[in-house]
Amino acid sequence: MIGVNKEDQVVINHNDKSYCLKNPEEYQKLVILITDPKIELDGKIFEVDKDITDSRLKAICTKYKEFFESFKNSKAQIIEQAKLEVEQQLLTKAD
Amino acid sequence: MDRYLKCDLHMHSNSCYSRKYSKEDFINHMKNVDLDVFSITDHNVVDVKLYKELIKDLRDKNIIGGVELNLSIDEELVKKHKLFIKGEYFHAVLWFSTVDLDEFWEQLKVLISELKIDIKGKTIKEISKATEGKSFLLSRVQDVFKDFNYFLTFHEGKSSRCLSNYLPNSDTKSGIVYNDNQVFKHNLFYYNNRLAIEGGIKTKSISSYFEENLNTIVTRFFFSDALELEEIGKKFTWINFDGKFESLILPLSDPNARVFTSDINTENPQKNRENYLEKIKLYLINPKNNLEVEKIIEFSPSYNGIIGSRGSGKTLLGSALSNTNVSDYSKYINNAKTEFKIFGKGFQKSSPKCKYLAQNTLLTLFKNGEAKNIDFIKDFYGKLEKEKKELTKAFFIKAKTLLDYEKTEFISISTKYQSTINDITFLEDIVNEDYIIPIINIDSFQDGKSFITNLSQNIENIDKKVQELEEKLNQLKISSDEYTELIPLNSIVEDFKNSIKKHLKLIKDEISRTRKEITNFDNTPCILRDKLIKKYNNLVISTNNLTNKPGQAHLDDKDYALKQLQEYTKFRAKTQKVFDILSLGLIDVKSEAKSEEININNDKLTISSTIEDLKDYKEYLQEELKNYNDLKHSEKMFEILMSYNDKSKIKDFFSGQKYKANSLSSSNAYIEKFYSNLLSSIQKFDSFTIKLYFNGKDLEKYSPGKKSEILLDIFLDKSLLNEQYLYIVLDQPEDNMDTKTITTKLIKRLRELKREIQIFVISHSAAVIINGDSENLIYAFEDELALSYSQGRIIDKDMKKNIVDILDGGEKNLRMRFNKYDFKMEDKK
Repeated sequence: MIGVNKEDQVVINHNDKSYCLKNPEEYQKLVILITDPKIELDGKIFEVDKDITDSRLKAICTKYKEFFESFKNSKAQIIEQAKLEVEQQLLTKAD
Repeated sequence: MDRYLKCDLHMHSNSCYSRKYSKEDFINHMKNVDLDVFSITDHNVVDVKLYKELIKDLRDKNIIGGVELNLSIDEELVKKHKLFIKGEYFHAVLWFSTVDLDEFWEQLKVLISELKIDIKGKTIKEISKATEGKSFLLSRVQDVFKDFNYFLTFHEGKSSRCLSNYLPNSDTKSGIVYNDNQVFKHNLFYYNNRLAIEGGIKTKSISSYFEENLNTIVTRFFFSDALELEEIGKKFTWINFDGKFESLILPLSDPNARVFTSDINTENPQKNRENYLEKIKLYLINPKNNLEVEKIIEFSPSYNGIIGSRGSGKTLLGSALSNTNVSDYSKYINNAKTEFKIFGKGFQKSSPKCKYLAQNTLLTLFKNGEAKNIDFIKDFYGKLEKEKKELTKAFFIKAKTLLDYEKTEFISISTKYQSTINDITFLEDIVNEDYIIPIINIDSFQDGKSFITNLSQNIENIDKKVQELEEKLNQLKISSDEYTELIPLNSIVEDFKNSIKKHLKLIKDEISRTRKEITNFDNTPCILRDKLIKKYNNLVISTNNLTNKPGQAHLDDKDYALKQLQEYTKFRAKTQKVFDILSLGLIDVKSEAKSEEININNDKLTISSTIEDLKDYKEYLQEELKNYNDLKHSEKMFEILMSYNDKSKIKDFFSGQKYKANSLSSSNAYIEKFYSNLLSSIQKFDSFTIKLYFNGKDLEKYSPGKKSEILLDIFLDKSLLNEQYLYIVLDQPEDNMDTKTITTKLIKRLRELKREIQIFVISHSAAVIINGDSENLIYAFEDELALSYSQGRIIDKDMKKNIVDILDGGEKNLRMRFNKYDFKMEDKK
């Protein structure tokens, strides 16, 4: 879920962990999580926390949501494409 | 040398009252009849003169003295043993040595006179006639001939005058069982190895009792007992001995191994009698003076036992016979001069093809992987290993392709993004997006292009399946010519293969045609569409840049960041896919290729081929990478990717032992080494390992004794008869085996094989030699430092002494074989 921390920085909360997008190390950890081909991202991960009332923060969170949703929507197809390309390699070599 | 002889030990001459042919006709017939051994057994008389005439004239035949006696059991014994007697008497054939002809006839005449028959002035035929309807008491016969060596054979299973007619087992009408009769007959036979019965396999009143209740056997002989001369020679018994009366103890004491009746075996039971090693010529060296002595040893086509104390030269003979490791004995033998004489040929230098099992090698044979070469296993295993090799080779090609591909992908993406992750906090910037026209995402644009790609892919998959089907079809086997009943199946299989191949060819042609059509398919609309979208996007972007540059730049940054995430995902998905393919592939390559279950003496054997030193793919990765966890494979590869720009960081991912920092100048060097190591580790394995499963259990898990037993079964399987070995040499095969296994497996198998192929067995076990029924014994001994050999049979005086002195359980086994009440170390005169 996309939310904000005490410093009003945008964070993504997932499985009891919080990833602050401003913190490069934490963001890298988030990238490791979301690019994992074995993990299917659930629907709520990029939902904006409804408790955010500040309209500015809400707008920022929404921008992140749109960005990550774009990624989430393309992930399955990308993985399938990757698998296909690997298999294609074997077929090409076998020929 | 003992061999199978055609014998008719019960026939009547012209001197018997029961036969009408003339003496001249009888002698002429016996001269020409196809028999090796015969005995004249006239009713209650012995025509000594006729015997002597025949012995003189028929020198190519062996003649055994004989008589057919009318016997009855003393009244006293009948009462004592509560016997039920039916009829007056029964017939028994008594054999003795022709050396005792005169003396035997004199004693028989005493018995005849006791029947109140006056023999004075009577011809033999008349005396015979006078005995009709009269009988001798069994106990009196035993008493009169107690100092003679003789064998007694009862009529059994005939319509009249057979022992079980006289002493019936039961009354079939009333159902009464005469237990006392059975006990009496049991005692009569059980304690005497010199009694036998007449009859083929079907005459079993006595023998079935012994076989079923006592697990032993009574010798059954098949005779002509012919009424007409023409019948003599038609019914006979194959007996394995030297044709002499004194040797009859050998077949009588082991009829299963030595006696075969012509109702079942019309052909000589010794199958290889014209294909065996007849002699070996050795040049033995006396180490004392280095002088050579020529020694020729003769062999039986059947079972040759080699015995002797330790260091006496038993194994030397085995080595010389098999031409194996003879150089170990150069002090005692000039092997360059050893010569072999095969039956029907002269001496030759080259050693015949033989099967050799060296001492203590049965278990090591398996451990060293040489079991692959055991005849029985060779064909099954060869096929398995070939399939396994092909699978392994295909896997290695696959592994190289995939690892090369992954490496290229790794370097490509690390070069593109310089191991960075874009900061996306720019998304928080407030950007005016007015006038920004959205572009079309070409990757997610759905049109006929993706359909064509999917269609091509599906066709390729079908083509792959067809190829697999073709391979499977080629593996379909035609049955071996050896099983004639399966020959008609060959045409069925062949027709099936040809028919399916025709269909497959049609499919392949169709695939090829469709592939060409797809290639030639006019996809101009798609190409135009692509071009249009690209053009449109460029136009939109340049327009956006003109109207709202910051807005377009923001969009570009967002696209770039998104693309980066997508490409990292793709990279990880590819590494995961490679990992999955190679992990599964290695499991497949490592897995045992098993044969079907093979029957061996009612047990099931499975043979497998495996590569034991191959590891799981994750283990190879663990050898290269520190703290590697296969559950997070793509994560680890991503972390390495993220460290690619920093050599100091990347080195921490790899195992320090294998990746010396001073020899690896760049991150790229690490990656090159990583993929190169991985591939060579996978490809490094020693050999294919054979495994045997006996009744589903790994042979290695059996005790050494059981393992030896199983391996012996396999080693001595009948398949070795297909290999055209002239003989088999076994050096102490009983090692590691318990008594039961020696008896039920080893000895049983030797007894079966010895009629098919010549066998040489070096042994310390009396059971193996005596119960295995070795026809020819070779005794190895030291003679003033030089090694030498003597030979004989288990009944020969010197050989009996050697057996008792040398073999484990020698005396006990000899006693058991030759009757416990009649065993003498000295030959009886």
